[in-house]
Formats: sequence, C-alpha cells, structure tokens
Amino acid sequence: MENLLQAHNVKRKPPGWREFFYNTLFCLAIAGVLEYVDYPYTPLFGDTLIVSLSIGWSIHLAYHLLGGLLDNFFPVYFSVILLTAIGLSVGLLIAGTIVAGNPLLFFQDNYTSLVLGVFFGIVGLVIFSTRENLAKVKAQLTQARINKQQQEKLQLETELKLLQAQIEPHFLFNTLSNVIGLVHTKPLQAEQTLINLTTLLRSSLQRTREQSVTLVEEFTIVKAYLDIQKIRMQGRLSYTFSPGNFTDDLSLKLWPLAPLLVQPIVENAVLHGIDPSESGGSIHVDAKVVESNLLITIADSGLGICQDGPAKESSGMGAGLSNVRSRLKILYGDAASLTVADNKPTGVIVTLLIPRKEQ
Amino acid sequence: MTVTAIVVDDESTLVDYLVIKLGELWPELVIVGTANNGRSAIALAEEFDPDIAFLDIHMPGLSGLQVAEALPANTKIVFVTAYDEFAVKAFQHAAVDYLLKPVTNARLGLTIERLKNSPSHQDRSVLMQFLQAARTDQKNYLQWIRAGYDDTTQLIAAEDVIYFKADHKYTEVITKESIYVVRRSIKELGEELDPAQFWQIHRGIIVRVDQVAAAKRDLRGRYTISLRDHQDTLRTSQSYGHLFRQM
Repeated sequence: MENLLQAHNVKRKPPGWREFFYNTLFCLAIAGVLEYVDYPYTPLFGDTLIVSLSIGWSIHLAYHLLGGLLDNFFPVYFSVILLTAIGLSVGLLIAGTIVAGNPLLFFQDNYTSLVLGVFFGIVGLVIFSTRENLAKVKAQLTQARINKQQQEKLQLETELKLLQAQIEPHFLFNTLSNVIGLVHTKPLQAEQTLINLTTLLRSSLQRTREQSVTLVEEFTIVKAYLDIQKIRMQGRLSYTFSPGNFTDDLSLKLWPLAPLLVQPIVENAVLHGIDPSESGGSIHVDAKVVESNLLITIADSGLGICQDGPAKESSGMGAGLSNVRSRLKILYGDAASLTVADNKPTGVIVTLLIPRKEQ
Repeated sequence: MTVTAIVVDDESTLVDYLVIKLGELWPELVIVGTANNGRSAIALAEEFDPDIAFLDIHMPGLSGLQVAEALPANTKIVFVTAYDEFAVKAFQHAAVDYLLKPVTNARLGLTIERLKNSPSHQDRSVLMQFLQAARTDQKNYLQWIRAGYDDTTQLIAAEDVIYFKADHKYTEVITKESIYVVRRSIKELGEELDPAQFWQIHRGIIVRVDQVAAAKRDLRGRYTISLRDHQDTLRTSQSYGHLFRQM
C-alpha cells in the first residue's frame, strides 16, 4: 500500500474535524476499556480520560502542525512514526501535569502508563493510517478509472464523428432518384452522376479508415460532391476552386491532412447556405500555404447566419461544422483552427488552418 | 369529371420524372401545373384548386410541410421524400400518403389506387397536430454568436464561450483567448442559449456548465466558482446558489 501511495505521489492532507471526532471517540473507548483492566495507578475514571484524551489530542495536533513539514524530509511511514512519538510524549507530559502536577510523572516510576500509551498509540496509528490510506487508494483507483473512461470516450467520439461525416442517407437516395430520372432523358448526365457518386462512396468508405489523405484527394471528393449537387440544384449552385489546377505546386497538392475535413464544410455551405435559398448561390474554395500552415477558405454566398435569434432549421449552421471543429481539436490540438465569419454581401466564410503533420 | 393535380419539387429532373410516371400509370389524371418551390406551389394551388398535390418535403424557402398547411382541405396531399424517418413515421400515424424517392411503379400504383378510392375530403387534423408538435420540439439553441472584436464581426461558436458577462446594454463574451462584445442584453442571449449547456449564476453572468471546475460555498450561501480554462473566478448571487448545492 505504501508503494502504491508513493507511486502516485500523494501529498497527505493534515487531519481535519472528522479525524478529530474519530480520535476523540477512540480515546473515550480506551479510557472505558482501561476502567476494566487492572490498572494500579489511576483510581478515577476522570484521570484515565484525561490521560487518554491528552495523548490522543496531542498526536492529532502533532499531525496537524508538523505533518506537512515532515513529509517533505522523510518517507511517509517514518514521519508517521515520528509524529506519533512526538504526540505521545507531549501527551504524557501534559497528562502528568494535569493529573499530578508533575510533567515527568509517567516517565519516572510508572512505566505501565508509558507502555500502555505506546501500545494504544500504535493501535490507533495502524487503524487510522490504514483507513486513510485505503480511502486514498480507493480515490486514486476511481480517478484512474475515470481517466481511462474519458480516454476511451474521446476515442469513440472521434470515430463516431468520422462516421457521422460520411454520406447521409437522404443525399444518397436523392442522388439515386436523380439518376433514375435522368437515365432515359439525359443518359450522359446520369452516367456522370453515377461516376461522381462512386468516387464519393469509395473515398468515404476507404478514407474513414485512413489517418491521412492529400489535399488533392480531399478536393477530388469535394468536386464530386459539388457536381452531384449541381445536377440536383442546377442553376442554383455554382462553384470555383483556386488554384484551379495546382499541378505546379506539388507541396500544396500533396499536403497531408486528416480525411473529411473540407468536404463536411462544403456540404454544410450547400445544405444550410445555398440550398435553402430560392435563388441559390456560389461556393469558392481556396487553398494556400501561409507560414508553413495550410490555409483553406470556403466562402459561400448563401443565406448566412441569422442576424437575430436562434438559427432556423433551414439556415445557419449544421452539425457538420461542430463535427469538424471537434475533430480538429482532437487531431491537432490548438495548432489547428476553424473560424467562421460573415461573407459580403451574404453568406459565410469558413477558414481552416491546418498544420503540417508528419507521418 | 377530370381529376387534377400539381407536382412540386425543387429538382426539375424529379418533377419531370414523376410527371412521366403519372402519365403512364394514370393517363386520365390532368397535371395542371408544376412548381419548383413552396411559394409558387401555393400560387398554383390558388389558381387551379387541384384535387391532388404531390409535395416534396425539402425545398428552398417554404418546405412541403409548410405548403401543406396552406392548402385547402379538399386537396389531397401526397408527400414525396428521399429519406426522412421522422416524417415517414408521422405520415403513417396521420394516415397521409407519401412516396419515397426513387419512386417505383409498384409503389406509385398503390398510391394512385388509394387516391382514386379515398373520400374527397382529407382529414388533416392529425397531421396539423403533428406538425405543430414538431415545430415546438425543434427549438434550436444559439450555436454561433455574432460578436464584435475591434472593428470586425466574428462568429464565435457557443462551445468556445467560457462565460457571458453583462456590460450595461451589451454583453461581453469571454473565450479562452479574448473578450468580444455582443450588442444584445444578457437577458436576450440567455433565452436563446441551451439551458443544458449554459447556466445563469448571477443576474449578470451566464457560464458554460462544463467550464465550472469547482464551486466553493461561503457562509452566506453564495458560491465562488473557478473555471477550467480561465483564471477568472465568478461569484453566484444567493438566489442562484441552488444550482450548486449538490456539487
């Protein structure tokens, strides 16, 4: 148990009122017991009580005043014994003074009291320190269990968030309806939509199991998603990328980032910014390297966030943004950020700052 | 007597497809008009007073559910949706017909049979009740706070806020890194915040619950609160002390 305590580096707290109460009870009990033992010196119950309480309270006081100090210099068990010895001696001095007016009474000719005092001191010490240590170890075990649970929870949350970032059933069925609607009238468009949907599905299934993708891979997904939405929304949605074709900047193109960080933000812009607007809008996605961080901005000209009052169901922000935010926090800590600002004249600009994470 | 219908969907591909399918399976049905959004659907309904309305649920502007509320009771409604478990359950409950996209011939055939045989007046009271209940359930709490910082306006995520502090008519928003100002009173803000996440602990202070690290009680029953990610300490007033009594 001592090893456990030291391993966890526990700082002992000085005893409080609760310990004082137990201590007093213990002293009363000893005084009671001693009444029945053949005890040659004290004929009065009052005297036994005085001796018992003097010792008990002195030990308590010694712990209270010196406990923290001694723990800095000695191992816990040594300082416990030392404190008990100090408390015991002081207690006997005081008891002697009160009972017979002679502080050294119990150290001179009456060794029985000294022996009894030492015996009960040790009994008390063992009882209290075991109790205290048990409580501490129990608290530590609980804390360790809580920590572990929290870690597991965080891990599960990340996985869940990634799963949530995957393709929505509504989107899937809607896209399939569109393909069915197009298959006779515009077979080429139907074919292209199926190709885009395949790209999106495949990457969504593969990438959730991958730790890292390149920027160009993420943008391929974003484009496939936007092209599908364009079929659905037709003239109401347009989009641009800059740099449109970044073949010349290989480091930007191959920048590693966690999967599904950009696509959910674009999806959010479409679903909550542009789709609810009858006249539609446009999305502009931009990527560049700023001070060795990747800076991605996603600007839309949709409805934007409500000026007043809580966001209505159709406008403002969906769960997608909070999802990306919490994943960024778990994956990159404070090094990454997601900020949201108003776009002019309408809409929202989301800025993603992603540090380079070495594999 | 001819039966008339309107078809409403924001995606014209799907409007065309449903019109073609209806033409194949119910040639006598006259489609008097199609619309791509809720407002023109209502205008169409007023102009033609159709017997049947096929309504997509997800549309820009007014949703199919909102359009349904505006239509007269003699127009039978068939909702069309790609995937919406919540709504589908409600429609079953309210005995309102619905089609799932992609629409199949067999399912559309069944709907047509039902439309032909159903009484001319649809009882929508159950549906309306449900719609009203759904609306009150969907109370959306403030997720983003529009706040000023120097000369710029920023949007702060509610989950980044540590606490709000009243400052005359305005409210200060304290986050880990900085302090922003919102041009609204703390009372207005408080009404829109999720009460499970934010607690008012003082007339002028609202704190995010998971930022509360410890609450220490003084002899007068007020609590001093230390925060997880900020060195400020907050003081509750007596009347809000009950929030921490069990802590």
